[in-house]
Amino acid sequence: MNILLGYIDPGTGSYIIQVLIAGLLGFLFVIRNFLRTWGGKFLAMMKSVGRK
Amino acid sequence: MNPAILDSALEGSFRDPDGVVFRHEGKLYRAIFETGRGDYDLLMSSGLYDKLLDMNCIIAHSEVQDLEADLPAECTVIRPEEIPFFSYPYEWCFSQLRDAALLTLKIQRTALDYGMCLKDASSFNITFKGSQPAFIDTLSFTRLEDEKPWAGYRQFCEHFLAPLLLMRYGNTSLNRLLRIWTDGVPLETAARLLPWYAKLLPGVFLHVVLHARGIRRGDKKNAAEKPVRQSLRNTRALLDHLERIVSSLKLPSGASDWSEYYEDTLYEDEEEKLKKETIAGWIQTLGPRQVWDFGSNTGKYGRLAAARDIYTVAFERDEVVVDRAYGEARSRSDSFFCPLVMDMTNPSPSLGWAHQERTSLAGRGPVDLVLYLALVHHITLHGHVPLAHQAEYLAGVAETVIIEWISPEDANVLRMTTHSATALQRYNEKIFHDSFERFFNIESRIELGASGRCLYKLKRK
Repeated sequence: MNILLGYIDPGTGSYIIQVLIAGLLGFLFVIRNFLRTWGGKFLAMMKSVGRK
Repeated sequence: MNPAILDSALEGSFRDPDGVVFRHEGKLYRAIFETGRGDYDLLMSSGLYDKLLDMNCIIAHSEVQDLEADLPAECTVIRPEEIPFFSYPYEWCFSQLRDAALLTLKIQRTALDYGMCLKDASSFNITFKGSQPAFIDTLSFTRLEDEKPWAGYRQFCEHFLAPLLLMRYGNTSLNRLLRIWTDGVPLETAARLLPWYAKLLPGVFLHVVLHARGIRRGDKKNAAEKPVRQSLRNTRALLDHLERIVSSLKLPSGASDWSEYYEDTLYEDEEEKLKKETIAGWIQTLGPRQVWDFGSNTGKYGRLAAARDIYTVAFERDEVVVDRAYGEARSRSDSFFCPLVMDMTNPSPSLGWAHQERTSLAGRGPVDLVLYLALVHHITLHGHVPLAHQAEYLAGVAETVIIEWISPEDANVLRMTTHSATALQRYNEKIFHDSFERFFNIESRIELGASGRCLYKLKRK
């Protein structure tokens, strides 16, 4: 990784932790969206199967 | 590069490699060097600046051509909007720091939409214009590079998240740690200071405890060995999470020493009416450009000036009271009233390199008018600051002072001196006159009623 030669030095350790935390949060975001999109459809399908 | 410009760099802007803030013929300017030109041009051409201005997130500026100043070649000069009084994060109450944190996240998120990002997340990039937080650092924006983590994340946690958590779970005064650590509270220190139950909260654990551990371990390793990438989606998820944590933080409800002051103070109705009318009348006649209200409580009297569109800064020691005053000012979108936390027996000092990066309270003066209402007995009897010292300090920061003198026979004064019989030897109206007449002319003296309280209008000699 090229450390930023910017106004501040965020530090390698902070970068690595950020990538891990953001990765986890991003993954949870995808799961949540998936459940929102498909979870409702799946439940509706199960209910209709149950009625039959 | 012109040394004259660097010599006059203001507020620590000499640390910025891409530009400098300076004064020329009394006006404030920012010079943008060649190295910062690309990012500045992108900020302006991408539409981000206009968008942030529309959202009331950033201060406005205008470009200046042909400034008659000795400037380095090839630099762009802008004239930023001037803020009447520059405050610092260690002078803010909890809600002010929280609003400043949310503003930083909002700006970062908006910047991502325009292909840019904040290259730092310092709380000193924000100040308050009345009750409104305003982002002031035009040079904090840079081009967004593909899959690069946010460079401001650590600084955001150290400047905003850690102080807010310490204020919430420790003590409301702990943002004053930013006086000691001017580049943010180290996360390892914050993690040690937070109570165990706070550290169990997922947000605190991730962004403070784990982050601190990562910094300790990771900084020992060779940076070149660790290529790291982060998608934009993950960066947005990180910002969303930080925003949720910060938004959910609230101070525990409860009264403080001074939160019920007006309810507990026994002013007769007539006395109160006369006090208000007299102060309002004097403000009207004096027509000050700026007023400082020392020991303001919720700023009841300072607001008499703010209501006349006079920029008023209200200083109060009690953070809970300031928080309440800020909440009220914010709800009426008051752009002339700015409450701040300040212990008048220990006002903000000059800080930073050569004491030049953060200006002391006195250094941000003088002002036309200081209100010093029902404070003199507290500073003398509780703070043990002699009247002569108070007179000298006030003469250094104000052209005119309105003082409410509390008589030594007043019930509050007697209560304060119950266990110190000698305290009153330093507190009487003769000593008050002798002390203040060295520096001021007494222009008016109005007795408020039978309580022995009176108002003085003093003009500096």
